Amino acid sequence: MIKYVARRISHMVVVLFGVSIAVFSLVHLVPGDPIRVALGTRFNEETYQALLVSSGLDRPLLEQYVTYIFGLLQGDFGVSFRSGGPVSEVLFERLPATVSLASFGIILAIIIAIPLGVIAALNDGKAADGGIRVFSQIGVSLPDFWTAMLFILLLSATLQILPSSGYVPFGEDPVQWLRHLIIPGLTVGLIASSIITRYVRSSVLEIINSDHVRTAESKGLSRSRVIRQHVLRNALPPIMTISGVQFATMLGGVIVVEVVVAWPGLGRLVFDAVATRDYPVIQGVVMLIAVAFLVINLLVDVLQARLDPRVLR
Amino acid sequence: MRTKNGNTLKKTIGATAVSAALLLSLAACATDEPEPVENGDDASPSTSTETESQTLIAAIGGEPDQLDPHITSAYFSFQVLENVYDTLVEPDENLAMQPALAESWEVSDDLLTWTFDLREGVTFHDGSDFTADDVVYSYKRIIDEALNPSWRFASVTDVVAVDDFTVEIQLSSPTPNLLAAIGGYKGMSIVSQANVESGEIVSNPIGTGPFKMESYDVADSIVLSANEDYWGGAPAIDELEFRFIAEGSTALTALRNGEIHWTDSIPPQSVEDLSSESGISLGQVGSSDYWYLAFNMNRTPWDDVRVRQAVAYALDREAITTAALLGNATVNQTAIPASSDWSSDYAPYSLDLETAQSLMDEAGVDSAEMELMVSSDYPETVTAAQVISAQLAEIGINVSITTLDFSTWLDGQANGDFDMLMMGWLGNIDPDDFYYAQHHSTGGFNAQGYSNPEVDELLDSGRTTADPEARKVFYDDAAKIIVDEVSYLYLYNPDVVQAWSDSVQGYVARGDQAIRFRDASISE
Repeated sequence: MIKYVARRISHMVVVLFGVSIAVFSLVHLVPGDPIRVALGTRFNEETYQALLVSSGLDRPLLEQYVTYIFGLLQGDFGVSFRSGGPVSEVLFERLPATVSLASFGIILAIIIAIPLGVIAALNDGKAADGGIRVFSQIGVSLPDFWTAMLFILLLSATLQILPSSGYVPFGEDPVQWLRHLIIPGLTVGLIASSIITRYVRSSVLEIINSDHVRTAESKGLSRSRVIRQHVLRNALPPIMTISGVQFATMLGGVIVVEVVVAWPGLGRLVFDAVATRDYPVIQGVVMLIAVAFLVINLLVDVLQARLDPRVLR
Repeated sequence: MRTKNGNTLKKTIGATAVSAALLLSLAACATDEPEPVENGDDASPSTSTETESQTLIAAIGGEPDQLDPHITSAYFSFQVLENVYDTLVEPDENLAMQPALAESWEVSDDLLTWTFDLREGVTFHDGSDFTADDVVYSYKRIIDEALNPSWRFASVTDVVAVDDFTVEIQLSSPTPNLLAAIGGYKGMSIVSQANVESGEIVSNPIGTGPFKMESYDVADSIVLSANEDYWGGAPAIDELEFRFIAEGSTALTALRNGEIHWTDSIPPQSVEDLSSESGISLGQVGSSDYWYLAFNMNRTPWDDVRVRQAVAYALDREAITTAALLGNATVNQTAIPASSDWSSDYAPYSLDLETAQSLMDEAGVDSAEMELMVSSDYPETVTAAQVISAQLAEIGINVSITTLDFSTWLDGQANGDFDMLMMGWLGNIDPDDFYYAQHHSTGGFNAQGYSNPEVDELLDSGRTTADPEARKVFYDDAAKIIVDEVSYLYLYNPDVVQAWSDSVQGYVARGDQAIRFRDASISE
C-alpha cells in the first residue's frame, strides 16, 4: 500500500509540473494586459512603464517562468497584481468559505443521490425510475446561477426565512454560518446530486443483475440485506470516483454561484482575477485546484483499495 | 495483527465517517430548521440600533482591488475611500470646489504659485497630526513614483511646505483647473507616510476622513467606524459597512428584506419599480459621466469626416439611450452635461437619413464594413451596439459587433484593432477633464487619432486661462469643432441611480458618484 501511494505521489509531482507549464503559457497567451486593466481608461505611458518593471512583466517569459517555478518550490506563489498581497495569503483567506460550501454541497448531493439512484435502479423502467431520471435531467440542465436566483427569490425574497447573500465564518457564529450556507449549498448540492444519481443508478443496475446477487437472493437473504451488503458495496467504486470529482470541482470554486450570492470563495477570486488578468492569482488558483483534484482522487483510490485490494495491482 | 499502516488508515476512515455523520446531522437540521424566530434579528440591520450602535450597511457592486488611493483605479475602492480620506479641497453637490483640508488658498499674480492654508488640529486615524509635510509627501509620492493620478500633476514643478500649515504648489504654466485636479477625486488623497511605508495602506488605510477602518473580511465586507474627531464633526452613524454584492437582483432582494440599507447595484429594468416602492427611496441624478462612439481615424473610410458625419446623422440617440439604459440618461451631443456651468448647447445632428446618405455619396462610399468594439463588462455598450448596427445598415454600413471583456477591449483600443468603439468617461469635473486628453493631438487618451491644430490651440488656451468666462469660450469653440468633425460622437450622460431604505436620512445621491455617508443617519 505504501509503495502504491508513493508511486501515485511521484506521478502527482510530474502532473503538477505539467499543469504549471500549461497554466503559465495559457495565462500569458490570453489577450489582455494586466497593467492596462489596472490603469483603466486613464492610460499614461510613464505609469505603465513603472508598473511593468515593478511587476516583473518586462522580463522574458522564460525568465518569468523560472522565477515562478522556483518560488513555487519554496511555497511562494508570487504577489497579486491587483491587491499587492501574497497569493498564498489571498488563497488561504478564501478557503474557509469554499470548503464550507463544497463540503455542504457534496454531503447533500450524496444524501440525495444514493437513495434516489438505488430506487431508480430497483424500479428500472417503472414510473419511479422515470420520475427520478426526469429530476436528474432537470438538475443537470438548469444553469447554476439561475437555480441560485430561484432559491433567493423563494427562500429569501418570498418566504423571507434566509438571508439573500453573504457569508459568516463558522468560528464567528455557527448558526449564521449555516443560514448563509443553505442557498448556495442547495444550489451546488442539487446539481451534483443529479449527476451522481445517474452513476448510482447505472452502477447499481449493473451489479443487481450479476450472478452473486442472484445467488444471495436465492439463499433467501432479505432484500434489504442483499442491497446493503451485496449490491451497494460492489456498486460503490464508480460512485466514489464521481463524488470525488464533484467535490474537487466544487473546491475549485463554483464561480457563477459565488458571484450571484456574494460568496467570498475561490470562485469569485478566480472570476475577479481573470477579469483583471491577475496572472499570479490565476496561476495560484489553478495549481490549488490541480492539487485538490489529485489529492482527492488519491484518497478515493486508497479508499477503494481498502474495499477492493485488486486496485493495487 | 494488522499492519501499522492499516490501523492508521482504519482510524482515518473512522474519523472521516464520524465527521461526515456530524456534518450530515448539521446539514439535516439546516434544511428544516430555519423557519423559527431566528430570522428576525439577522434579516433586519435596523436591530443594531437597539443596542444603541447604529450601523449603516451599503452594498457595492464589487470588491475593491486594494485601498491605496494613489494606486487603485477601481470605483469600488473609491466608494469606500471617499469616506476614509480627505483631499485639500472637495466638490460640493454642484461640483464647485470647497475647503476641506485646506481652509483657504490664493494664487500669485503670475498664476504660477498656489498657496494653501491648511486646517489646524486635524489628526489622522492613528492619532498623528496632519501637517504640511503630509501634503508634500502625498503629492511627491504621486509625482516621483509616476503613480496612477500623476497625469493630473502635469504642470506641477514642486510642492513645498512653507511652514507647518502652509503649502505651496509651483507650476510651469498657469493651471486654472488645479483645484479640480487636486480635489476632484479621492485618488489625490492626503495619505500617511508611516501607513505607506509599513505597506499597510493596501488593506488598512489611515486617513483623516469621517470614518476609519475597523475590519476587512476579504471578499465579503469592509467595516468602517465613525471618526469622533473628524474636523467636519463626528458622523451620526457609529459604523458603516460595505458589502460586496455583484449581482443586482441579489442586492435588491437584500435591500427589500432589510438586510442592507443602501445599494447602487441596480439593474436598469428595476428603476421604475423601485421609484414607486414603499419603504425605499430612489436617488436619480444626472451624472457628469458621458458615453461616446469613437472612430479609428487611421482607417478608411473613417478618416473621411463626411463618413463620420453621415454616421452622426444616421443614429437615433434617443433609441440608443433607451436600449442602453432604458432611458435612465440624458441625450447629449457634446460631452458636458447641461447641469454644469461649462455645458454647451451645441447640437447640430438629428436623425436624418437623407443628409446621411448624401454625405456618404459625397465621400464616394457605397457601402462599408465596420467592426464595432464593445465590452461585456459594460453591458450598456453591448445593447446599444445592436441598435447602432441596425441603424447604420440604413446607410449601407454593415456593422459587425465585437464583444470583448474589458481587459481585451483595452488591448484592442491600444492597438487600434477597431473601426468604431463605444465607451464612457467617468468622474469629470473641469472642462479640461472632458476634452484635453481625448482630443488634443498629443492627448494621452486620443485613441481615435484625432488631430486638429485649431483644437489643440483652443484646448491649450483653455488650460492656461484663469478667467472663467474666457475659458468657457475656448471650450465652447473646441467642442463645436470636435462635434462637427466627429472626433467623438457623443451619445448621452447617464443618471446616477442609487436606492436606500426610507430609514436612512441625510444621504444625497451626487452627480460625481462620490458616496458620502458622513451626514447620514438611521431613524426607526
